[in-house]
Amino acid sequence: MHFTAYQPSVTKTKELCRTINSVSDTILVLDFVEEALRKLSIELVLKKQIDDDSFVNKMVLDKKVYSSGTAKIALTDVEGGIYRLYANIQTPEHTHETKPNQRHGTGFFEFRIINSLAEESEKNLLEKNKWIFYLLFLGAIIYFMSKWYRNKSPNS
Amino acid sequence: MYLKNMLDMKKVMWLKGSEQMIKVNVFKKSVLIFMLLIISTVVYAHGERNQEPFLRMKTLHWYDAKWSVKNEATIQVNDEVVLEGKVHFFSRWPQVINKPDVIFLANATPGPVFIREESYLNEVPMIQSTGVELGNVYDYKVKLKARIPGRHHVHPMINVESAGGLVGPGIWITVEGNADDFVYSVETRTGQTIDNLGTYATGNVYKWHAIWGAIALFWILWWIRRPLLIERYLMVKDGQWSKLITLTDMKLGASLIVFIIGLLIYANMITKEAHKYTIPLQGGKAEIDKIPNPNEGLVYVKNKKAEYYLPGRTVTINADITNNHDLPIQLGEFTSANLRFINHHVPAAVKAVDNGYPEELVADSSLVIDDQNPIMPGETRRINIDATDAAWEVERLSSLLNDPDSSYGALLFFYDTNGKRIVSEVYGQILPTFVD
Repeated sequence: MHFTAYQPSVTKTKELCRTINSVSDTILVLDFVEEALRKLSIELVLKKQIDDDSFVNKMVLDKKVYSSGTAKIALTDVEGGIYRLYANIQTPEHTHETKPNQRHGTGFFEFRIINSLAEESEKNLLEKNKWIFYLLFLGAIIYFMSKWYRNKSPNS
Repeated sequence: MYLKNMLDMKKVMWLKGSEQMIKVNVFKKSVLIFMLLIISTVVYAHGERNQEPFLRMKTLHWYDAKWSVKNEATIQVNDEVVLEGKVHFFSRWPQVINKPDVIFLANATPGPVFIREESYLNEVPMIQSTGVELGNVYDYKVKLKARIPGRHHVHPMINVESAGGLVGPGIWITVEGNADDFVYSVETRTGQTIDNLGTYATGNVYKWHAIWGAIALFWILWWIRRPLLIERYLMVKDGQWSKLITLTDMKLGASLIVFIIGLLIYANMITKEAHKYTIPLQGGKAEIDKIPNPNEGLVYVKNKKAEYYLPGRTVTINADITNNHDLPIQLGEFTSANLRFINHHVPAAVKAVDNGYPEELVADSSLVIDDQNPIMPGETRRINIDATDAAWEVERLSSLLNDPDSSYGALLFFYDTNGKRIVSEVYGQILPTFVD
């Protein structure tokens, strides 16, 4: 399964993965690469971490066969934190087409959402504009190197 | 004396510096090669997913593809496989790549694991390149023979001059046996039988390579046996050009020219003696006639709007369909970049998907048309076509949204009430959307 997240209002069509840097409305998309998964009944459960060891259900999508090979979950009122998206695969009994290890299984994908806007607002002026200092530092290096080269040159 | 000492010192310093530089360069190159060896992995298939979407959607459309063995079949070394079908050269060929004025029909496999025995376009042998016209369909046929054991992905492919290879749909074939058992026997036009082209006259090839290699090696050794770069550089700096090439060098060079020309004449003579009847390698292009399309103009499609709904992996096309045929028609299939979306309300379209056609290339239940009623003769109707499948993402076709050319191309297959198929192109700009 391939996981992708989108935040249309923030990053437009950019594909996000393990770290999502905003608490805006988010769309999670699962693509089933393996063809066999399109014939299986899959339950999707989104859980959010509440402390080190436990996760609580945030959203549950009932068991369904995704014949087009793709499933999506739209999240609104998003909070920062660590999430897990579980895919529970179940097949009916006596299915000769599925292999034993496909008949029942659960996997999850963990990702986190960061409230980067809040973090950004807590930064001071220096931290917000640190790129200026990198640029000045680079300029200083270029200046001193060119000065050293000029002094070294026999014609100077 | 002073000048000589200075020159010698300079030479020593330069040599030491060069020596260090050479050592560093060799070290860097060794590290790079070592890294490549570590991080390189074996590649198996689907390299075509790396091609830009506009390349795969607006150049070639392969359909009616058939293989003489099933997907995931197992065959033996020396067994033959035939690939055939139709290939449509899209009329809205991308401007950024060369037109198909010079193309070559081939096959895409992971290296020469099959040999290509025969290939045809419209029944014309494709030993040489040819040229085709945009907007036309050609019948292709490629006959392969298994050579190397392993599990291989096998596609037809057309190489376009200066543009690269454009790959058709592929199946997995497992080849079993021993590569040493591979035999490719042919009979020449003079009645001579060559038991195995793979090993024919290889002794002769090694012999001539050895002769030319020996001459080249002698020539190189002649020059590098004396001090080479630095010494010669210093001589040039001192204005001693004329001492770089001695009289002996010139005499040897002249003798070598005479010897090589003589050897070429001798080689040509003995070759003509051994093989009296030869045909030169053909440099011209093969000519093929396009087959007139009796259905041309029967259905006209005009794209009005196209969008890609990212989260739902759905391409939505809003188009006007004009039926110029004398029977009602229905849209049965939408195909692009080797992906097929079938309308299950049209039995003829369902029947057109062969048993064993690669599953990952057929989006079985994912073509939705808002109005399934047949389009009557003379009618123009605006329909909405939704093609939904994870394949848009898996095949990396959704990255067309990041292309400087965000446009799509596809074929629509219509079926009339007699089951006759009419193929039309559809193309246009496509935009991303997050609204269902």
